[in-house]
Amino acid sequence: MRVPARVRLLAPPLAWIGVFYVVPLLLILAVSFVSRGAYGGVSWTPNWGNYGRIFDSLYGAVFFRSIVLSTAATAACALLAFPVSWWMARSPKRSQETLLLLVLIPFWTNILVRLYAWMFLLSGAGLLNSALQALGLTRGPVDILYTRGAILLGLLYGNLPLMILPLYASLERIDKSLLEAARDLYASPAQTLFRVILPLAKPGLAAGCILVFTSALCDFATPDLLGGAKNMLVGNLIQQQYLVARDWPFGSALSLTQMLVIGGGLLLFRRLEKAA
Amino acid sequence: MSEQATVRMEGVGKLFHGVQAVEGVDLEIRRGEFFALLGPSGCGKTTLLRMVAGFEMPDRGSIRIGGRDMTGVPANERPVNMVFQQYALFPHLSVAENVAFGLRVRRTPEPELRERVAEALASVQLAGLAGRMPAQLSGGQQQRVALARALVNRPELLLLDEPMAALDEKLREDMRQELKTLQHRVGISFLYVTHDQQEALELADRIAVMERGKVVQVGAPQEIYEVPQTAFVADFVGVSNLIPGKVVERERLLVESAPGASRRVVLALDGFGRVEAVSRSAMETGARVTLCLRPERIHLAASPVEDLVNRVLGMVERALFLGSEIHYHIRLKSGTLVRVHDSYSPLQPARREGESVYLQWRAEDSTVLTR
Ligand SMILES: Nc1ncnc2c1ncn2[C@@H]1O[C@H](COP(=O)(O)OP(=O)(O)OP(=O)(O)O)[C@@H](O)[C@H]1O
Ligand SMILES: [Mg+2]
Repeated sequence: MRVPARVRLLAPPLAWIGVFYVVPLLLILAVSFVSRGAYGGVSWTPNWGNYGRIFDSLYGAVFFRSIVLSTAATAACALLAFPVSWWMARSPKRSQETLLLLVLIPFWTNILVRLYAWMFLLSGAGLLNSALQALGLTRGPVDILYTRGAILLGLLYGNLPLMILPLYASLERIDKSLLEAARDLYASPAQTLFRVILPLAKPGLAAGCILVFTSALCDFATPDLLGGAKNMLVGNLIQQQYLVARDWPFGSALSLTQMLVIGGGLLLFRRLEKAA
Repeated sequence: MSEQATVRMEGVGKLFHGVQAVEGVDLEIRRGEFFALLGPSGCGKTTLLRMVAGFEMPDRGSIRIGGRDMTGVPANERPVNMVFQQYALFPHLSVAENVAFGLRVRRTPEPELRERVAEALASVQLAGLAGRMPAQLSGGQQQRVALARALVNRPELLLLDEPMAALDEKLREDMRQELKTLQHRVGISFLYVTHDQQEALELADRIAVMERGKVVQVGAPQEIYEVPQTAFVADFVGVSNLIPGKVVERERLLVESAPGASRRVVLALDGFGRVEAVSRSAMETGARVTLCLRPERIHLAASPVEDLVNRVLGMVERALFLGSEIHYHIRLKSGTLVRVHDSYSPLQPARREGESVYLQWRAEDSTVLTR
């Protein structure tokens, strides 16, 4: 029997997705409906209670905090990345490559190292506090590290390139003559921004928001190091269930719920994007 | 200061990192006029146009539009609109919204806006395509949208930067006709940039020929063609035989009336010998000049014709048949090559290559250039 070309071409990627994505996902799904083993691991007795536990006020608060912080980080990234990307996209072509490289360089260093650097900056005896005191702006050290603000700062810092890159890509493609055409048709610089630049930057902005939101919601290193124990996010919770509490079934239920939240977030975002 | 001029430029200059893109340009564009800026690539046409639009600021001189000095006035506050070379349609907006852009920015009431957009689209024969996106249009259609988008605002002046450059030859001819008709109907002054002399001659009421940042001649198409003032203009506009030589004899005034006063002069042209011509300016004997002799002004005949004073013998080297015309390359005994355009008619057989012919013309058929 002849196999159609389409099927033959699709077979390798389908096999890849099947082995590395679908099967693990099904495993997690299965594990989320069984019980925890006595010494960690999984005991294959059905258990419907894992999802119920998520609505426990304690865990619910973690989810809520995660969504709020991730959304805030996404918005902050967008606000900060826009002018930066615009400036990069309008720079002379020769310097654009260098600027892109500069945006990417932090990625070459392990995130943990970079987070420790932030801890050093933000801690009670850190540079920021010393500077504030030296300038006489504050008396004693201010709590900056281990606050939600610190997490937000970390998420903003860590995810900014994910916003800049797609945004830059779509801004860079806007022809200069379109901006001149807008000016020619009586638009002020602000009107040009809202009527021409933003609509044309939308695909890049959308891609950046999706990337940052997803990455922020799944992050566990940043909240762990900058937020401390009080400010746990979903990422930490999942990591803790798998590695500390050894409760795989509950961890799996949390993972799948997190996926649903992200999926829901994307759908909502699509709606907003269409409406805009 | 109500005046007939839509635009008045005085001593306009622009320097780009040491390159004098535009230098000392004085121009006046009259109300309702189709004005062409003609010149070779890099002569500063676009730069001059962009200074009128407000995208570049002149370093020297002033530009007045509708009597108002435009120094320091940003592009969005100038009463002009532009048709960009690649049209620059907004890709995220439909045809109708592209056309409505300027009206929306200026907060035109919705009913009036819709009416004017529909009218503008109809005037460029695009009424049926209002809902399309620019990417779904052909080059010619995009150009019409760009025209409608500019004209819908009823500017005092429409700026066009080589609007035909992106179209193919056939479409270009059709669009020229349409553009001319449209301009007559709307009565708006057009400032049209082109490097295509054919286009400028066909469309414009007046032409300014530019060379290396300067305007070298301004005039009606016929004037530019018939009475070029420099060898550059003669060479750039149409085809001409430019023959260097010097004045050997000058005679009395032919016509006394002052401005068009012309004198008969006798020239010694390199490779031609003695030739009679008519000059509009006084010249000294011995002065170096260039004679501009248009190919279609030369009469070819096997034997001399009495009243054509200038006569030189040559041999047909090549004959190019172009339908209604035949173009000849004729080699003189001196070795000089002369181009002659003759109309073709089946009744009169074409000269064959290798044939000897007399090239003949009247004194008034040529122009004496001193520059
Ligand atoms: N933004 C700029 N920066 C530096 N030099 C420029 C700039 N714009 C134009 N020039 C220079 O000024 C001169 C005139 O350019 P311009 O674009 O006005 O010519 P043009 O007559 O429109 O030519 P073309 O027919 O090729 O479009 C050229 O030498 C060009 O290199
Ligand atoms: Mg140009």
